[in-house]
Amino acid sequence: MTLRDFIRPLGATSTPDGTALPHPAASRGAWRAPLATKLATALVGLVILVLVVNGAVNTWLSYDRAKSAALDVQQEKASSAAVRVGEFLAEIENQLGWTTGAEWRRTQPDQQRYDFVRLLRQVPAVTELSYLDGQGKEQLKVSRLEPDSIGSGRDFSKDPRFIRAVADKIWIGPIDFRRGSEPYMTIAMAHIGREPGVTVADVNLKLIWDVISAIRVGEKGYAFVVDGKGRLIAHPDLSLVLRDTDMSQLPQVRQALEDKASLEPAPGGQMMAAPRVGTAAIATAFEGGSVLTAYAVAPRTDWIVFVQMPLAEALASVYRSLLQTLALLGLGLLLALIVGSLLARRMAAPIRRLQRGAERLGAGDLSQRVDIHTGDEIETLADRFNQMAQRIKESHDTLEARVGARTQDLNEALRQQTATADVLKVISRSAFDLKSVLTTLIESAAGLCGAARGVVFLRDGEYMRIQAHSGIPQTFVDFLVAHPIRPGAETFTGRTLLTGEITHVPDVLADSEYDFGPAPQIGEFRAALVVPLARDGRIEGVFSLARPEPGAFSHREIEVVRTFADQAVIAIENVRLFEQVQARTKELAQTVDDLRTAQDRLIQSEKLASLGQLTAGIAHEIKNPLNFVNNFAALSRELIEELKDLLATLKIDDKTKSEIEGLAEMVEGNLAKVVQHGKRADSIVKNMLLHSRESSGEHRPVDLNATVEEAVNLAYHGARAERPGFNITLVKDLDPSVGDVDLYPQEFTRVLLNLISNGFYAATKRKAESRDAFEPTLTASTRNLGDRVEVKIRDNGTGIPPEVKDKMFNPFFTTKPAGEGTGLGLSLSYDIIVKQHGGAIDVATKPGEFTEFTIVIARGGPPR
Amino acid sequence: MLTRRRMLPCLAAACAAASPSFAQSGKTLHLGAIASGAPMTPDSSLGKILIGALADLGYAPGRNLVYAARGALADLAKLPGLIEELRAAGSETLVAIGYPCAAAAKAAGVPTVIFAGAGDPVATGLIDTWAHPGGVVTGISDIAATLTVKRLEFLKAFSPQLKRVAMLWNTDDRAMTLRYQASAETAQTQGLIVQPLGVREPDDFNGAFAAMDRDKPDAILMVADALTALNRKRVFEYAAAHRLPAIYESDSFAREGGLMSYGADQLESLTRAASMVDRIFKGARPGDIPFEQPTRYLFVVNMKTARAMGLEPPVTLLALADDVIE
Repeated sequence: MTLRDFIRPLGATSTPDGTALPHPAASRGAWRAPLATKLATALVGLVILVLVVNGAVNTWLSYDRAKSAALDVQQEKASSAAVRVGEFLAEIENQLGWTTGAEWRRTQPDQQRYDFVRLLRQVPAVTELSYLDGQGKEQLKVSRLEPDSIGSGRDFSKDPRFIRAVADKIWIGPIDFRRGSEPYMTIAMAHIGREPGVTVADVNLKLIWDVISAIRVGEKGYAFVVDGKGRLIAHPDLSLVLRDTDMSQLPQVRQALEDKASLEPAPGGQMMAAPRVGTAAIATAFEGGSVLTAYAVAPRTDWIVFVQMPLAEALASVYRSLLQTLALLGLGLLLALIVGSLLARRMAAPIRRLQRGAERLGAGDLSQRVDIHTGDEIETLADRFNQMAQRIKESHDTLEARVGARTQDLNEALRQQTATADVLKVISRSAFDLKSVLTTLIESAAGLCGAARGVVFLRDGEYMRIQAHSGIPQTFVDFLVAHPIRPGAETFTGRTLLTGEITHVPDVLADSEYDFGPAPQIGEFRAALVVPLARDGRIEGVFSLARPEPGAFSHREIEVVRTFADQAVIAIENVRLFEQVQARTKELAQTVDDLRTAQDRLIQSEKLASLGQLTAGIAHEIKNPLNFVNNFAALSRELIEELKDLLATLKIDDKTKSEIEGLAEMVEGNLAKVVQHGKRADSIVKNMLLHSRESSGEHRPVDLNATVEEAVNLAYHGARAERPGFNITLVKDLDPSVGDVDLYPQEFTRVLLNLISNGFYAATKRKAESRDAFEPTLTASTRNLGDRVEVKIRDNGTGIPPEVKDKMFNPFFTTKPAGEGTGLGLSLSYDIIVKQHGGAIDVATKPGEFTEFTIVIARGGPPR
Repeated sequence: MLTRRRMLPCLAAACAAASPSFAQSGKTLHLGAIASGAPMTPDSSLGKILIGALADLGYAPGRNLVYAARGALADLAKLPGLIEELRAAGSETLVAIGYPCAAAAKAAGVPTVIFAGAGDPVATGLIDTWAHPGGVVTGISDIAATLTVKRLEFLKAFSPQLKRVAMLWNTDDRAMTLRYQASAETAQTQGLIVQPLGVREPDDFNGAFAAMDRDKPDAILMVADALTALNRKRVFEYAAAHRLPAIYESDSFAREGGLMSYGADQLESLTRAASMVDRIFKGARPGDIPFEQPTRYLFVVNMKTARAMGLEPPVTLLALADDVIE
């Protein structure tokens, strides 16, 4: 959380009146720090800066001080620890000193032994004492563990403990870990005098533990001793010593081992050589963790005494001071926050008031005044603000008046424009209704000019007749209708007609020339304005406007009327043009229709002619061979009869006879088939010949209903004659108003018979297929369509599938089984109705439900 | 310079200060004491020292320490059962006296600190090396085998005409047998005749005494172990009745009526043992705690016994004594 985040809620809630106003800036999208926050931030920031800098400097200084102090202390501790370790040895040496006097050599062995025993009692660390004479022979040995021996004479003259002690007065031997664990050391001390003997002591170094443990280094620090090779001699944790730990792996120990030779003895040494002290350092302890460590070399040995103290402990005072600094920082922050927010609130309140005043002013409250009495710059600012608000209010009022006037003008213009636009809209919408256009124009013009009355006159030869009006009583309209106006000075319209100029009469009564009878009384007008409707210099009409009270029309009003008059001229012209175009279009359409009919008929007759020629040719050519076939087939049958008779008279065996008879029968059967199909071919040829015939008979007016009725009856009886079990319900719906129709009766009947027999066939077929209570029905109906008539033949038979429907009018197309239909019936019917009669034949069907043929022909007969 | 005696409590206190004990942790710890002789109850002389040393480290029975003592009363076969009993009662660490106890504890796998009677622990196979015992046993060895020679020296100092020494030991105790053998060899090199008096059970003492009656020795050296310690009074009486100088292995014998003793300071041994127990309580493995040797050996002469026997120890000998009981 940044400081800013922390301060923000404080600033946001501290509005002067205590209400939680939404921050004005919030509505503008971007967050802005309130002044109070800024002030508080600045104050708090300053305090924090000062505290942090102060704290940091303090901490750094105290850290430095504490560190150097701790280092000094550590060095001192190391020195004193080294002294104490030295004292441990010095004590032993002191005690050994009892036995190194020149005269001691000469005492009795018993006395010497007794001295040794006493020495052992005095120095617990010594476990064994021996006396070597001037030749290095052991004269006496006293031990805690082993048997004492007197005068053993063991030769130590080559042993360092003898040689080195004699040479150096004292010899401190290397550390020896007995049984791999107990640290022992030998101290040999030469006696005084010539050919000195040597007193040798075995020292159990475990007892330095007492010395080392007694050295307190702070709370958790301790001291330890290593020998010249870095092996641990003494440590508060005895186990480490007993395990013969090598400490030289520690960097500080390694460093000390390297540096100890170069160390200067500490100044101010006492009788005893002062320990050489190494520099203190921060290092890692054997057991881990950072420690402040220092070392000193124990006097007269190469042992190094280390003291160490956990860094945290050494620097505890620094941490304390850091903690103090932090606490101070926190306290300062809190105080700064409180003081800062209070101060900021006091400062910000009048500014807020000003701000809100400005906001209200901005929102349009021009009477807004700010009341601040702080006696400082803010009050001056508030006064200026009030003055400014006053000025704004004044100029605002002036501006408003001007805007009002200008707006009125604009409104006026807008009204005119709107009216003009409306008028134009009306004109464009109903361009061809001249009366409504003119009415709209005169109404708008009258409205815009503030004229209560308005009339539009249009020229009709010499006269001007009223065409549209607005706001005038019916009596005046009637008057104007009754009195068309001619050119002349006695009427205003007449004047305009004469001059071609606008006639403007502010007061009718003041015009001496005016004489239009009781017009002003009936029309109830006093002032008048007449504007000509001129096209190409010729006056087509006038706009006449009037007011019931006298007064001149303004220039603008006259202009408006002139504009409208121009529009009226355009509208009149439009109508004239439109009417012309319409008339011409009608003529053209009629011509096109006539042309198309003629063309159709031409094509039809061409087709019929060619088809007729073709079929007639074919029929004629086939007719003769067919006659031969038919005739000779019939003849052959008769000949077979004769052959049979002859055969009966022949004497031949029965078997042959019967075979011949069988063959004859077969030939006769075949011939019968030839005859049958020959006849069928004959009928096809006949039909083809019929097709080719252009017009067999004459056309004449015929009673259509009678013709239909006759065809139905004929077909029914024909069907019954052909199939005795045939039955069908016949429904006749004949329109009595149909009357006579001019047609070719023979051909038309033929078409009807064809359609009806097809219907019978379909209905019968469905009955045969359905096998249930199906009632085959055929309906024939006629209808009067005015100059045309309609005939419908409907059956409830099997219907026609779509794929058949497309092809059914084609010649030779049939769905009947071979031999039953020629495929020419519908083709022929189509030709007769469409080509011969100029009518139409259509079919409506639904497979499995019904089929309905509709014939429409002109009542007046086929077109010529 | 501080004397050894004054130093010990300081030392213990230093240990306690240097390593805050479990007293603060609120956890209750269980310590078992197993002895092959009489149990080391809190009111016994060794028990008192041990409890005192533990108290210096911050352990107090009834507060954060449960102390249970068992003794096999020389019936070594009972030891495994007793150790199991202690373990069942919650003791996870043992203090042992005597090699058989340590051997049994090692067999049972219980962390054990032996403070006396271990003999040479490497030779007996109790530990791997002194610096790293390696197993579950650590402690202090009184290296009594070498001290026996010293004891013979004291006997000889007491009666310079010494020729024949009777040695009493428990033949069932391997450490003691080793010690006897070492002693006998040394004694022979010093021109002494050793009269071996091995015992296995209390009844054997009668036989031992009868042997001494038959072939009177100049002095008695008793090798301390459970059996001999339990029957010490009979040895004291026999020695007194026959005016035989005798030496024992620790000062407690001399204080209870024995003539002389020479051996490791039991106060030191038990203080060190308590410190090891403390370390084990804190998670150290016994195998990592070096096996230690005593640093201080006490020579104690009981003048009361001497006078009662009508013997007058030489002044030079008395001068050597760390403690003379009047």
